[in-house]
Amino acid sequence: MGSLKIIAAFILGLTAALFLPFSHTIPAEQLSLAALYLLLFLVGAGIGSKKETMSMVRRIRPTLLLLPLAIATGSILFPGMVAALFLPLTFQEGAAIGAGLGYYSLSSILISQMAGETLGLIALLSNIIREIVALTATPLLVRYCGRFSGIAAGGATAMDTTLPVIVRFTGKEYALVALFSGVILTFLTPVLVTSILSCGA
Amino acid sequence: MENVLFFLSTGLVAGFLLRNRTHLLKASDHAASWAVYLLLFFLGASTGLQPEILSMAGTTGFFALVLSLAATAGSIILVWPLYHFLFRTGSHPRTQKADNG
Repeated sequence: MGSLKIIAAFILGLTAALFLPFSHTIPAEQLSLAALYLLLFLVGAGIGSKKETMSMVRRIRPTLLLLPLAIATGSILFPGMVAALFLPLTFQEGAAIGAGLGYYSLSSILISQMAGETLGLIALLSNIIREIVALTATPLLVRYCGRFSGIAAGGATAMDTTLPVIVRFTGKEYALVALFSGVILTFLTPVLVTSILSCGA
Repeated sequence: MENVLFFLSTGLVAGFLLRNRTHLLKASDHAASWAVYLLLFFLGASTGLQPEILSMAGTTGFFALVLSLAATAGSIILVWPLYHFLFRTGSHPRTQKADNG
């Protein structure tokens, strides 16, 4: 499972910082930024080169765009409101974390770059939890919360990690719909996270 | 923000132009994985260098749980009415556009 490797990389970095006296001399700032831009380029390339992307764009009805847009809106507004009302965080901070849409690697990196490590860490955990919820609860969600709830819970991960589970419980005939929603949300994640954090900055 | 869009879009175009070069795409997949590991390593390192973040680990986990449930619930609630709107037939998804438009 990919998230285990991700967490291992994070813990390795944490351990290095705690136990290696020279760790703070590494030019992490510049290296991170270079790696981030490389990653964004490669994420774009991954979507652009996907065989399914073009056939999907041709076959999908434009109204289906409402699905990823509704998922993104709900994922941004609700955590934003919960953060503002019940947690010692601002609406903007909650909204940015929700805009991660389950894409924990990229969103946590972007958020830590723009809003500090503490929020980046919350984003990392929060979006990993979202993926785990989608992987484990999709059967229940589809049964009790509507046909699209698996696709909604999966967010950006509906194009890869959670796609098999979603297709299995939502129905094979919705595979293309899930893939489409996931691709759009994967592209939107970095755009939304940076837009939300740039607001009023 | 402009940088994010620039690199994403350039990647999108490059990926589309090179979509038949499987070798290259495999390599870019690997590179993407390593970029993620490297970035998470640095996120871990910068967290480790700030003891005040570590002292809040429990609180951080709780906030993360609450926010992830809020995001999941929010997306499900907004998507609920869409199913009937998009697939009124309910039997099979017509992803095809109508022939006349």
